[in-house]
Amino acid sequence: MGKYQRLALLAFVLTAFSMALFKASGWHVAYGFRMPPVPEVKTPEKTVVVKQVVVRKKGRRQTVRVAETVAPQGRIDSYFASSRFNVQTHAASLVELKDGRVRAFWFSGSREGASDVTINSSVFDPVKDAWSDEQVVIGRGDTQRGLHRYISKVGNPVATRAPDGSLWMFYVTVSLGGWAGSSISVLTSHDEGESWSAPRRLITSPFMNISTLVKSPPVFYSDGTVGLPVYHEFISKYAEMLHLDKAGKVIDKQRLAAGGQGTLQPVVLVRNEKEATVLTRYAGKDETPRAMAMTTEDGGRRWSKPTKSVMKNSNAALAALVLPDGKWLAVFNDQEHGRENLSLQISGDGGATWQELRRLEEMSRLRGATLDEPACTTLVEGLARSSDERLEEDGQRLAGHVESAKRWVRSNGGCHFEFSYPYMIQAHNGDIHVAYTWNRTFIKHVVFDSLWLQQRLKGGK
Amino acid sequence: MSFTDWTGLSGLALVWLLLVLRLPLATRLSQAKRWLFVLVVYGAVLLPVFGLSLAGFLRGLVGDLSMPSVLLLVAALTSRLRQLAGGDGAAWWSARERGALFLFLSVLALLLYPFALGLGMSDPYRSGFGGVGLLVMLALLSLWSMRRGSYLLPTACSLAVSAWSMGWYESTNIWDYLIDVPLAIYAIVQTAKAMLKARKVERV
Repeated sequence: MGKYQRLALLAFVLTAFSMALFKASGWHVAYGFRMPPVPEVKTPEKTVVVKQVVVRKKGRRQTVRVAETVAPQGRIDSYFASSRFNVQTHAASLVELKDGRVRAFWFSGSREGASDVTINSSVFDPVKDAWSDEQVVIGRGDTQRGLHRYISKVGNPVATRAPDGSLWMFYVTVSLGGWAGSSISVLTSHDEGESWSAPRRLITSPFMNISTLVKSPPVFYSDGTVGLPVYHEFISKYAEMLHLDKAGKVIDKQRLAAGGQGTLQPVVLVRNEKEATVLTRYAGKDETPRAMAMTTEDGGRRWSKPTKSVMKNSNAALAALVLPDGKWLAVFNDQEHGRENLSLQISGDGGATWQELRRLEEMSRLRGATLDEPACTTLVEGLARSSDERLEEDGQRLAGHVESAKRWVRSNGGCHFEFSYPYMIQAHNGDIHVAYTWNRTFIKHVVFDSLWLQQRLKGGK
Repeated sequence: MSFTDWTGLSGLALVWLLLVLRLPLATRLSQAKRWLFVLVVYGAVLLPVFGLSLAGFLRGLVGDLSMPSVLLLVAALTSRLRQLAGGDGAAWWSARERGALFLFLSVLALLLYPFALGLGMSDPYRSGFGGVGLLVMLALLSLWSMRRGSYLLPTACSLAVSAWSMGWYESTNIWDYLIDVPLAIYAIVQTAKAMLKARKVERV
């Protein structure tokens, strides 16, 4: 290389690194959590009921009108959010819309991982007390066209409110292999989920950008940037936190646990600006499997080593959130093996102890039991009826639900139930919404209000 | 198509182009027709058929190519075109220059991938998000290489950090501009071969 070529190269090297250092000098990652807004819970007023009571006065029967004050009752109800029959359906998430409705997302298709799987969505209207028909948000083909690369399957949608007020929907896409080969893409909607932008890829790993999956709701940092809890599955399994700027670009990635500790699907519980706990699904080989927990006391800058929590965990996803009074609410499979039950529990001591509020599903008694088809069908029908009482009015829909559910429940010839992948949010009016996979065929939605919660805590029915 | 889609696909199209130029058909074409052939092939691998181009298919499997990969592909393509035109097809850089780059990339790969895939708690990939430390290290290495008379390595590093500064690809991480998996495998194989060859020479 001649003298002038060497000088030209030197100039190029100096210019290139000067530009890069200038860009790097503007890079900043904020820590410290932004607390979610406190729900505006309206305390229901006591109702006055006028009754006609028969009394005896001077030996004569008389009817008098008596005003009686009745204490308000808490409300809990359940629905099926998805409505397609004879498909496999999984991995629901929820986001509250600006008008108080709740939009759910999940994936469904002929089977998990099939090329016909699409990300679907529907909207729950509390005023109408009903879910809308489901609509397809995006599938494999549109994702492939939008990302300009080969895509073999899609899954795990997670939606959130973006810093600019639009909606973001993260979901995983796979080009090669199983879920361990996943990458995350994101869609944006400026009309509350009615229409979506083309997908945009998040680059999160140097190894062909594989093995970053999403399952749980994001958290927000003090400067409005977003923390997206994610996890890695290729070779070893561990939880991570992606830090996204306000435009949704990745600005940092933090490892929450080392590989080999089996921490998957992290859920972040923010206690205050500085303190938070992450609970994770446990995918290790411990004989008494429990969800793992990591804590931070400096706004997410550093995280403790994972420790075993007291929550049983059968290598299954869990959902949790912090209530305005600081108590923790969680939905999880309260068993060491299988996913045949689902429990709603509360903790007032930062997860040290848990109290069951309601068993949302309970079929673990039937684990290993041999049931013939009629007996199994009766059970499935009973479960479907109790899951959504509106099915009683529509025999055809009920039959559709039963037949669809049986495809999974009786897939191995027995009678096997599964309730999994819970996702939970608290709406601005204080209502808690839980969505989860119901026998891999439908997404079930359970909603209850703050009053119901208070009454359960006091031991009411 | 966004700018980063175009840049990503253009880099990957070079792989298909190099493969096609190895076909016997390429040797039988006249000089003018060969250039036309190159343009047609380049366009064809970028053209979506049923929603996906050949470059897009490759992109799904390996992701966007790092800048050293693009640099080496461009060098290989020009050498091949010169060879087809009756020239000697000599490489742009000497074996020593390429050896230094491959050794550097092999060390990077061994430092990056095992830890980025979960070995321990520290993740070197994190240092690529606006990491001043990584940039300073690369700058010093580039200047040191130039002082020792090696120019390929500083060219590759400077291209990588320039591309990162400009937001050439979707990635916001410097590592994705410095190295990719196919290049890492190629570099490790070439370095191992060079080491074995050197040992054989020593024994003789």
